This record gives sequence, structure tokens and C-alpha cells, in this order.
Amino acid sequence: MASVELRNVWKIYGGKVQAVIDACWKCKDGEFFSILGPSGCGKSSTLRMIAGLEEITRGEILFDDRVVNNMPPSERNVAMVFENWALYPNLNVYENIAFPLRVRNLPEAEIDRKVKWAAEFLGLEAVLKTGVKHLSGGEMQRVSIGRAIVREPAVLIMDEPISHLDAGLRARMRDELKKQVAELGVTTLYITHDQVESMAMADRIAIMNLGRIQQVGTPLDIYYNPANEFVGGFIGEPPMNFTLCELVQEGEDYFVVSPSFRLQLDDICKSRFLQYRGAAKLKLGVRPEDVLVSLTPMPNSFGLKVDFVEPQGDRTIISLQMNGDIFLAQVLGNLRPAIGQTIYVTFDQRHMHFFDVETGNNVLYMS
Amino acid sequence: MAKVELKHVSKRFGAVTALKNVSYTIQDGEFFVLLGASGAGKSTTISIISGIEQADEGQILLDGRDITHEFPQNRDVATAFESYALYPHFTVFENLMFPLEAPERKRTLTREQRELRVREVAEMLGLGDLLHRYPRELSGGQRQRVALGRTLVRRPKAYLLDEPIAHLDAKLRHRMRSELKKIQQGLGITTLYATPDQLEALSMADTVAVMHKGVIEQVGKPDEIYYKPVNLYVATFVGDPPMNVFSVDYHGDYAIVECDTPYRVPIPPRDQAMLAEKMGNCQLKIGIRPVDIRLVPADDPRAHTRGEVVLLDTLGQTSIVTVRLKSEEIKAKVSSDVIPRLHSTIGLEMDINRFYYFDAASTLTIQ
Repeated sequence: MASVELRNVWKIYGGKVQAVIDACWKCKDGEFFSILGPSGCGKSSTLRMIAGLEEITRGEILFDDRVVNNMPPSERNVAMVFENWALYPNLNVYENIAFPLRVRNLPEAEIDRKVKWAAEFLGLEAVLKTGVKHLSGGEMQRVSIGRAIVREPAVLIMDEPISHLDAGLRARMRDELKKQVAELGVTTLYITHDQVESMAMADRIAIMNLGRIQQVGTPLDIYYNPANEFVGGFIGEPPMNFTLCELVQEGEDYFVVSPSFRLQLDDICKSRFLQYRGAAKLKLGVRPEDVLVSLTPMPNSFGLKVDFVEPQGDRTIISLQMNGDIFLAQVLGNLRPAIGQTIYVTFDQRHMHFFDVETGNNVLYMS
Repeated sequence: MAKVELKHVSKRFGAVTALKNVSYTIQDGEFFVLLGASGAGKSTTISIISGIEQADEGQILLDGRDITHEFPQNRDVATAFESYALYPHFTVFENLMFPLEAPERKRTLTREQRELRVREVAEMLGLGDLLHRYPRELSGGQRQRVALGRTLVRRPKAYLLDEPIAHLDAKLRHRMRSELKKIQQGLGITTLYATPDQLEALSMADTVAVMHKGVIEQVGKPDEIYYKPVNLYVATFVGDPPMNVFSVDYHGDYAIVECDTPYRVPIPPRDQAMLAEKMGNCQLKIGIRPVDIRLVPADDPRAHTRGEVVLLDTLGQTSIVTVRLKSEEIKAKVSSDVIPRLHSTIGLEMDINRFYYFDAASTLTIQ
């Protein structure tokens, strides 16, 4: 059990490629901490530095407040669960789980005790003597986890362990993983590109892009209070809508204006701007669930044309033509307007986000 | 007219029946989705229609013509496989161009027209800047898009797409779904699209065929398979998280849910009449979707039952709460504003007007 901290960590390959840039975060002892980002964001390089598989170019990595930069991987007590599980194909379940203990020359009786503990914890007692080639996908994943936890590691690192599974199996495995980790109480770093996985499983998330940490926070923090345009657009499904707009003041009233709409800000939204002294031209971000639609006019609403309608069971996604681009509205239930029909739209002003056009930063961000 | 018809198609691989008496019609220009878990028979279906595999029984008709025994090259269908199969020694441009260089197509399109087609398809799929690269220089997601592009440069009677966007990351997959749908609508080419992802099926399909172990469970519009599933398999496969299903003891105006801590749920009068007419002597199962369950305080009289919160998945605006009743678990999908604390005891109020009823023995829906 250990906390994991990165202090101003950099990874530069070949003196030129900056894979990780000035990363700072601390994962608490026992926390389920997710590192989330698209391909190429630096999450794999980060995890390799934590495991000791890559040199740290600059900065320090600490386990339980102890600098581990020069500690070889075998001494860091980090266990990994890989994307493709990497089980030893010719060994049975027992031997796969026992392997890390055999390599450390533990006495046979102790190996037996620990393997049986891990097997019981994961519900694998019935298949202990089965060759791993004959197991189902779900069982193989559990063996992979068994092999990692049998060493009682200080830190468990999972590298996209379920991303290649079918949607249905993925959801079930997510539940299982979450329960197992909660019961073990081990510090867990979960690397993924899938924001749904991070949101569902993590206590806190560090979201990365192009080598940099964009934001660290709980799932709901990041969802409702994104630090920048990248975070706003990356988290949430369907993704956040963006459009350029201008903040205009007329006497006491504030308006958000664009070619497709002119929206008067209500008192609460207006008050968020009272201290604002930045540019008037901004990028507006609104999540599809905060785009409110009606077949008839509503207070403060404007007309937009329907481009596409996607039924999704208990909700419907309506694509709207907005400023030469598409805005998505998510409606609970089944509203089915016709393509080309004009419907009436407004935004939930509690959840409008404004980003700087140059930097992408959330101009009203509360850290 | 490029209608595709399957008539009583069966296929066995040794002792394994991959397809069993499969029949359906894909209308001209339709976006028809084959939905099913791994092993359901989707890839086998596509192999048989494209001619790579021969059916053991039954017929395939394309545009009214029996193509069951035609060679693949004479069928005028274009197939995109889940594994990319790109030519490693060709650039992206050359890979996309290759299908258009086949003798019969060289005759119908000039060199300029072929190049334009390649560039258009590359733009549609976001590959415009990668045309000079070789497959080894591309990410997995980019390779998959090239494979898809190689299919879309052709204008056959039908496209057969086997999980063509499975390996893209979540955001890109979402974008490609609507892009693909628009491309298909623009081209008007009959398309068969295989996927294990029920959300993808609901949002893209004109018609969905739900497959399970080589058998077609239901063919219908997305709304139909969601709101009117014909059996337990379809009811629990479509919808995320899956429908909660309970065995019950039916007593006319109420039912007792059979579990370690049995509880009573009222049955709406309209459903009582329907069940009286259609139920016969069967054992009943009741299903309710997570989105139709409300959380209330444990001692609230409206609660039908209560239990311990064992999992909380915050997905953004909505969260999935898993409640354990002794040995059963029930999932509820609720707004993130009202999520209870982990390990607290919570009451569950079900919207009884949204019950689904099933014959426990035959698993058919009673409706």
C-alpha cells in the first residue's frame, strides 16, 4: 500500500520527443486513480516510468514520500495487469498465479497459501488446474489480476485491461474490477483512453493530452467544471458542443451572441461574469444534455433546423444546424422531429462554459 | 434495386452450428445492422454473403438474383473486415486506389475520376494528410479507417461492413458513426453493418437483426427492439445497463418477487387485463430497466424494496447505482444530483407502468 507522487516529471525520448511534460500529481494511499487521455498523450510513458521500465528524464517519482527514481523495477513492488493479459500460455491457472512468487524463491508452502488466497478472492478455485488456453475471456482477466495481486504489491497498475472486450463484457468486467479493487484496498493506477471507464471507476482522474496534465479531479469535478476546452470535449458522451460567440453588455443586461442565436444571461450566469475583464470573443461549450429543446417556443429560446435524429433507447440525440456546424441535443424519451424541421432551443445556463479562443482555458474556472 | 435476401441459410463448421435457418430481407438503400455478441454469427453471415464461405443450406439473393453459388468476384459487393488486411508495400493512397484499378472498374472511370474518388473518401474519413504514409507508419485507428476507405471507394450493389470501427478510440468511434451514416445516406447503397455494440445499432440502424448463437432473435426498427423486445435475450441485450429481471409469484393485482428477501410489487390494471388474456399457466418473470427505477429513502413508504449501495458509477449527468439485496443486485440509472453514499441503505421505487413481462419457461415476452 503506498501513495504515488509525480513531481515535475518529464520524459524526453532521444533528446527531442517530449512525451511527458512537467507532470505533477499525487495519488493517495488506497486510491483508485485513473490516467486518462487519447493515444499519444503520454499515459503509457508515465506508467512505464512509475513501474521503473523507463528512465525518468527530469523530476521525481515518490512512493510513500520516498524518491524511487533510482530504484530498479523489481524493488518497487509494483504489479501490472496488461491490456492483453499476457498469461503464460503453457501453464495452468495455479502456475500462472504462482509464477511471480516462484521467481522470488518463496518457500512452496507460502506460495501455495498465497495462490489459494488469490484464487479464492477472484473465484478461480474451480479452474486452478485448468490450462489458461481453455478459459473464457473473463476468467483469463481474473487470472491476470490474480498474478498481479498475489505479491500483495504496494501499487497495482492496470494498462487498458478491458478496452479490447465486447461492450457488454466490458461493462460487466468493469463492475468486477471495481469491486475487487475496493475489497483489496490497494492503490490502483488505471490507464485508459475510454472516458466512460475512468468516470465509472475512478476516485480521481488525471487527464492528459500531448504530454501535459490537463486537469486532476474527481469525475464529477472534471465533468461539471472542466479546466479547458480539451477536458470539456474529451469527457462526456455524446461530446460537448462548441461554438464561437461574443459576450455583449447592454446596460444592465448581458447577452451571448452568435449568428444563430442571441441569448440573454440570467442573473446567476450574469453574476459569474461580474469580475470578468477578459476578451469579449469567446468559445461557448454546452453539453448535449444542457441543450434544451421544444417543438414550441420557450422563454429565451431560438429556432434551429434539425439535421439528424438518432434514437438511443431511453433517449434521443438530435443534431441541430448551428453557425455552419452541428450542435447535439440530448433529450430523454423519444422526441422525433422531422429532418429540416425548426425546433426551439435554449441552454441550461448553470452549465454553460466559456473558453478563451486562443488558449482554450475555461475563463470562469474555479480551481 | 439492390435488395439483399437471406432465405433459410444454415452453416456449420464441423460440430459447431454457426448459422441456423437464418432468413431476412435488407431493403434497397437500407442501413441494416446485425447486432450480436462475439460468436453470434455476424462474421459468418458476412462471409457467406460476400462469397468467402459457402452456405450449407439456403439461398442468398442480391437484386433478385440468386448468388448463392457465385464466385466472390462476381457478386458486386464490397466487404470491410474487422482485421485490416492492408497492403504493407503500398501507401495509403495506393491502398485506397487498388480496388479501382481492377480491370472492369478501370474501364468505367478515368484516371482523374479515380483519383478524385480516392481523395473524397480520404477526406470523409480524416485521412487527407496521411495519403503518402505506409501502413507501418499509421496507428491502429488510422489503419482501420484506411481499410474502411478501401471498401467505400467502390460503388457496389451492397456494402458489408464487419465491425469497421471497433478499434478506434471512443471519441473517434462516436464521430465516425454519424459520418458513416451520412456517407451511406448520401450514397444510398444498401449496407449490412455488424456490431456487438447495442448503442451503435440503435443510433445507426434503419433496421436491426439481433443474433444469438447463430439464430435471429428479432428483426425490427431500433424503437421496436428497445420498447418491444420479443424475448428475454433481446430485452436484456438491448439497453445499457441491462434490464433487471426477477422471477415472481403472480397474484393478479400484485406479484411477489422471489428472492432471499421477497417483496411485493403492484401490477397496473391495464397489465392485469393483458396478463389475464395472454399468460395462461406460465411462471412469470418481470423486467424493469435501470432508468425506470427511482431511489428513495430506505424508510419511504413508496419503496418497493431496499438494500445496500455496493457500487456507484458516476458517468457525468447520470450515475449507475448498484443495490444489493442479500444475494441479488439491482441497478438503477439516476441523475448524479441524487446519488447516495456507498454502503448506505437505500429504497428502490419502480415505475410499475414500465414493467416488461416474460414467460419464464419459453422466455418470450408477454405483450
